Amino acid sequence: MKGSKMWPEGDSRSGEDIRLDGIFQAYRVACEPRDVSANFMPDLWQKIEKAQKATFSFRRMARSFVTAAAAVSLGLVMFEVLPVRQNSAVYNLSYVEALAAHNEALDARSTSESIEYVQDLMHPDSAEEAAEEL
Amino acid sequence: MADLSEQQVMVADAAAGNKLDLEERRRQQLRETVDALLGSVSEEDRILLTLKEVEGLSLKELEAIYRVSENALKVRLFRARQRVLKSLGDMGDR
Repeated sequence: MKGSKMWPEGDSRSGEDIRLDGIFQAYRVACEPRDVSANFMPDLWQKIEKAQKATFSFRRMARSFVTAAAAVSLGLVMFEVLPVRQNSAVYNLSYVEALAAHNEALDARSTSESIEYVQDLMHPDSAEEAAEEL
Repeated sequence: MADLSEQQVMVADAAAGNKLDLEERRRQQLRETVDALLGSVSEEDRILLTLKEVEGLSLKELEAIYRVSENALKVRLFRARQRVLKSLGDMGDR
C-alpha cells in the first residue's frame, strides 16, 4: 500500500489492526478485474447482452401471459353480460314455473283418466259394442 | 491413448472450473465481509477509508482531494477505523 504512514514508527499495532489491514489488502485484490486480456470488453458486452436477452424473453413471456389473461377475462365478462339464448323454452322458466307446469300436466292426465273410467261405468254396453266392432 | 488424454483434459477442465468457482466464492465472501464492515461507518467515512485502505491513496493525496489538514484526516480515519475494528470484533464474537 502506498502512501504516508498514519501511525508513527514503533507504534504497537494490535493484532486486530493487522488483521484489518490484511482484509483490506485481500479486498483490493478481490476487487481487481480478473480478466485483463484484449477480449475483456467484448466478453463483458457479451455477458451484458446475454443478461439483456434473458430479461427480454422474460418480459415477452410476461407480456403474452398478461395478454392471454386479459383475453380470457374479456371472454368471461362477455359470457356473463350478454343474454344467453337458449332454444328450449324450458331454460327460460324459473324452477317454480317449471314445477307448476309439470303439476298441471299431471293433473290434466289424471282428470282425463278418471273421466274415461266414469264413462265406462255409466255405459258398459257401449264399451263392449265398441270392442265387438273392433 | 487419445481417449485417455481427452479424458484427462476433461478432468483438468472440471478441476480448473471448480477451482475458479471456489476462488470466485471466496472473493465474493470477502467482498461481502468488507461491505458489512464498511457498513458500520457513514458514507463519507466509507469513501475515505476505501480511498486510503483499498485504493491506497496517500494522506497527501487525500489532503488534496478533501482540502483539509493532514491531522484532521488522520483523526477522521482513526475514528472510522476504530468503528470498523469494533465491527470486526463483533463479527468475530458471533
